[in-house]
Amino acid sequence: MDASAMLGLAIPLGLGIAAFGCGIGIGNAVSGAMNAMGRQPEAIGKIQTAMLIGAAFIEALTIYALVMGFVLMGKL
Amino acid sequence: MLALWLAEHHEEVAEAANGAHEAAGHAAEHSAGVPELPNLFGTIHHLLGGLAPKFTDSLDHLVASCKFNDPMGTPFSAFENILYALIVIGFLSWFFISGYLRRRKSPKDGPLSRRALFSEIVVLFFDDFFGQILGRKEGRKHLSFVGTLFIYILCCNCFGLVFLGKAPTANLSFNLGMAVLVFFYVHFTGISRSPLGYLKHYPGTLPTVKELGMGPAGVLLIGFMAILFTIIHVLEAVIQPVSLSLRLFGNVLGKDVLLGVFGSLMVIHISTGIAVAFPWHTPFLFLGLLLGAIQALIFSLLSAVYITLWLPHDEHHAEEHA
Repeated sequence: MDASAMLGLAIPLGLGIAAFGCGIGIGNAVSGAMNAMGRQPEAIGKIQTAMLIGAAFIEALTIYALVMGFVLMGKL
Repeated sequence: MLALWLAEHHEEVAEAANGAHEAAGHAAEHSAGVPELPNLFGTIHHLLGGLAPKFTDSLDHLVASCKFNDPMGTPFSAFENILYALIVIGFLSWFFISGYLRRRKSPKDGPLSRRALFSEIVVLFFDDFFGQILGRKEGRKHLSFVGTLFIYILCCNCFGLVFLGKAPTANLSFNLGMAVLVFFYVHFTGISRSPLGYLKHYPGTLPTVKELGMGPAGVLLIGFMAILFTIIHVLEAVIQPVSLSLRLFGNVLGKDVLLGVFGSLMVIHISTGIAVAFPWHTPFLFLGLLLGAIQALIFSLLSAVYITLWLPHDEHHAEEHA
């Protein structure tokens, strides 16, 4: 197996693994936020902002894998 | 002027840029893997390449000699981003400045123009939104910076959805520029508030020797902790702008590539040089609209949060008790 074939296998696989973890993380965050919103509908605005910030941090991890994918795509 | 200069210095430029051009050529070869929708300046550049290849070649040489390459695209595409950003800046400046002038000109109790009203709604929305995060007084102070970031990034993102447009935010250097601006703004805010407090933030709140209860050995441990926390805080300060720019870049580029892939799914070549594409990417334009708004929100929101980290914390307690 040459390097480009390995890259072709590794980029989507790595992105999938990153997305798997981040999916679980964002799922946890959103479920917690939804619970909180259901319990306290008057605080929806504040909870939503905090949830968005957290989701942005989690999502950034997948984006790193995606960016690496774009960068390495040139070597395919 | 530029064309004349290029014609005169073509040989020199070509020689000087020989090495750089090779690298640029490689980048162009590689970028064939990343599909994107056609944009106005790229199309003009491409058409000019057919009509006057000497001119575009020298242009490419010039761009390549500037070491100004977009790693994701052709050497020229780095310039496209700047041109589109300038268009967005021009549009926004015209819109809001003329709205402001119109408002100033209108009689005091007369009705406001539509544009003035719209600008007012936008500013009030930001005032309310960032007031929640920064506090009402601080929010007013930083509103102009954070709100400008939001509007600017939103328009840049949405420009990628316009026909023959391109999102300048799909370029890492562009986003890094904005993120570095945020970095300097945040740290300037921290320093101007209290220089001593700014320096104190780096080692963090350390326990006293008495609290540690280890005698003289505790001094050594506290010193070690101070150094460790300082390193961590410096790292955090560096990582903040990098992650800020990478997040925006990855999201917008991902959206653009998605649009490009779906846009090029069914291209019918009628004859040589003439092709018709079926707009498969239309549903994803709405996704792009949503994504652009969310990314603009997150960029400005995180900048606001970074500013809050440097503000004195007792203010929030006072607000909570009030």
